[in-house]
Amino acid sequence: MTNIDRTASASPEPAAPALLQCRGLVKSFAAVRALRGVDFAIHAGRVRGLVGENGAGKSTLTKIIAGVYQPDAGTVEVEGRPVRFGGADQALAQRIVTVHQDINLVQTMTVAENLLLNNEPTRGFGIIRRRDMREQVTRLLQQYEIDVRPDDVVSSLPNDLKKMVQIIKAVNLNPRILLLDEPTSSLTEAEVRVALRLIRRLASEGVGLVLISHYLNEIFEVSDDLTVMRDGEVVADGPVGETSLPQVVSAMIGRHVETVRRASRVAPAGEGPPLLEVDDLSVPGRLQGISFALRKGEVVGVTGLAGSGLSDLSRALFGATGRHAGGRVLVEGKPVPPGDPAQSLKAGVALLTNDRLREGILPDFTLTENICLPILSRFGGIGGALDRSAMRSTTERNIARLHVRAPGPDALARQLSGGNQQKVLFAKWLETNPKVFVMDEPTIGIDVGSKDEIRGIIDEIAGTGVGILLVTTELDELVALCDRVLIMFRGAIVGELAGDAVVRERILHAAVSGEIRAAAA
Amino acid sequence: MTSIPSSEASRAAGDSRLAARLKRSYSLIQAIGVLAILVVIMQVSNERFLSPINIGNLLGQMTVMLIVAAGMTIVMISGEFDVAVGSVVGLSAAVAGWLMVRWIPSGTTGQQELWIILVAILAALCVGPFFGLIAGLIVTKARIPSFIVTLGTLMMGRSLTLVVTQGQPIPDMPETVKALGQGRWVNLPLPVNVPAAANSGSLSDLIVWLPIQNIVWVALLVYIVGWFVLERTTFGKRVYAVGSNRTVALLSGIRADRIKIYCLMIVGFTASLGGIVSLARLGAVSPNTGEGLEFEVIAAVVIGGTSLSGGQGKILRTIIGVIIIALTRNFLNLARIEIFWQGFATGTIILAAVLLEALQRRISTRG
Repeated sequence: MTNIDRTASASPEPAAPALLQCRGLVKSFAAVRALRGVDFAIHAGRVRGLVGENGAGKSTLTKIIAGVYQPDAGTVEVEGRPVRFGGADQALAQRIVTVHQDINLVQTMTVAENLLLNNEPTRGFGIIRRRDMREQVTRLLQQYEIDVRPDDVVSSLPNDLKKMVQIIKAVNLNPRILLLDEPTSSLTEAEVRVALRLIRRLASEGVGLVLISHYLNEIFEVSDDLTVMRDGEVVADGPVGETSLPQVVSAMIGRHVETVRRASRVAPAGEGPPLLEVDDLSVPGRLQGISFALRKGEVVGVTGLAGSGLSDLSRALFGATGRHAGGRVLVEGKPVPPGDPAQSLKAGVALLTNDRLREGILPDFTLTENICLPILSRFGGIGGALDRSAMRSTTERNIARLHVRAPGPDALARQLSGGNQQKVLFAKWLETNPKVFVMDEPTIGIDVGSKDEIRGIIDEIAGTGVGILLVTTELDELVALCDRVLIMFRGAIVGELAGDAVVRERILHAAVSGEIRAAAA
Repeated sequence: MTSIPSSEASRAAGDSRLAARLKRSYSLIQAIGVLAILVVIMQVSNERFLSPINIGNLLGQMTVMLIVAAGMTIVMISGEFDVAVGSVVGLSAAVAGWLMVRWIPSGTTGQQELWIILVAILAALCVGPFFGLIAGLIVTKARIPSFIVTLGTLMMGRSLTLVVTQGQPIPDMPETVKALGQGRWVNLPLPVNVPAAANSGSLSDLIVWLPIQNIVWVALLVYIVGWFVLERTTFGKRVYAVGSNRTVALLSGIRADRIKIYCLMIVGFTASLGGIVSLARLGAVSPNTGEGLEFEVIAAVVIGGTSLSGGQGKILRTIIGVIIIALTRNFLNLARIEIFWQGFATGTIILAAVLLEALQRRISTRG
């Protein structure tokens, strides 16, 4: 791996006053406190790495700096002057530019139109200088060696090229401050090199940069300073040269609380085919050659960084990615017809998606309606009239079993807290009597107490012989619940940790580096 | 380190570039093809169809729809709808007609009358943008779908038209206005009369003089300006960006709400213009001018290939959509099919068009 020249910024300590300084930033979303008093500085000509686990508040912080969110409390100063951005356009006017984590391009427009969107060369009256526009775009694409044509429609490009276009678009705005939120997660190794070189070059030109990345090796390679966040607070801050990767990992994880591991209840192997077999499952550009097996009563964790294909895997298993998926999925030795969620459900696969509000709960429906939706045919009576009392008693049974705190089966789902809504979704899928239960981030966005309850429920479900695939980025959850953990990296499974090897440091290390460390480490 | 190999993917993208270009113009080829088939069917079933008089009439009849459809294309690309256009056409025509009849005493001629006509037209041209502004503010500030908001303004506009006209037709527009609308000052020479030329052997007989109603030039101007604004200006790029992905547009510093309000004002303006053209063409205002026009216009825009979900569409293709709808109606008239069947035929064409679009989208996403 070629090292990137960092000599451009000679001094180990920032001498000049900060280009941008945040003090005491506080931001809450509903009940969740995303930031609890954050101080943060960006210096001209320096790259600041920003790391932390998911939910630590990194993206919230950058979105406040970029004017997308407004802080509840605290100040932002640009060159000593306090600012308060009402929207992204006001931050952009100050040349504070962000490369957002998700691909932010207009898919239906061409590369050229996207690169210069809202920044087109004009003759006045908004009339575009088309030749200038073409020349500018061609120059940009050549300069950064990106193999796309100005007239290519963005939706036809693979994800890595889209990301490069997005980065070049930001650079072309001539930023004073550039915020990069996970810029490299969808890039190929060669493109990562281009991007990192670009970051150093911008720093040498005096731009103040912030680099958010889960790839700690990249952070260590290009950053001058490093800020570690955890639970909405800054827990470590200083020049990169004065710290080391293990130190950063332990700062990210924080408290060394021993997580209690559940007792394994895996059914003994050797009696017939495994419950679930996945054979060379692939989705072009997203998943490649995923193979593994799951036995009765086993809890297998799947983890990796954002963009490593976790949600793609859970959706592909359920047949929700359309007919693009290749490979086979077998339940109890029988192949599941691909690309059809209804068939997957029939074969005994249930999927709890990671987006409760948009893909899970129906907020204006009652708990009974939510829970009985997939199994309505079971309650059909004379003339198709639903047996309402049977539906109610089903719901009541689940409310009692999963300890849902709700006024009753006729309460609307929106009246419940996030954790209790999640229990309702568990009830909904459990009522379909799944053999394999795929859970994508089952405890996302819910409070700590409910998290523990949900984890208890997962353990209980496994105890009944259901095979559970727990797709999550929460290390605690993996350690507490999983018999084995599969590590995904850039769309492939790169390794497996089992038994005593399921510890937080080793999972995190494998997820950020793509390599399983030797057992001795 | 492993990484998803993307070189194959990008090479595949390179191979499909030609295919992609073909696919992009495919819908255009297809639309022209449908049009050609329609023309042939009509000419075969009725030889009067391609006569200069019928073509000239046809162009005049579709002018209002053409003008309004241009604005509708822009607003639909921005991701919104305006179903109030029909009533704005009616109200604008009524306002202009009412002002002219009320302010021009019989016998006035010359300069003074021209000024009054001009003021009446300008006043009527403000009706649509005002309706658009109100609808746009409600749509963007209160986050209510434009379909619903403009359904409200549609009813208000219809009712105001009845108030202004008192439910009676306003006849007898000034002669100047009629001349503007009904005149055919330019005859377009078309070298198409092959049989005549073959008979006489004289090349001059090849030419058929097609009289073009003056209002058709207004529609032409609207499309030239509309094409320029959408394809060649920053505003146009912003309209496409906002319609395709509002978040991306916002994060690029585009004031998406403002763009949508402008678009609703533009479609209002074209509706008002359509109202004035209709008044000039008919020389009178009927209280139900423009009734039902909104759905014909939306249908024409969709048949022209503009996406119902915004972000995609070409204004010049809308012309083809309008022609297809107008031809169908003309065909039914010439074939002496009961007027009651016209809605059925138009509806069938709309369904066929959107089904075709959905089919294509499915094919292209399956890739």
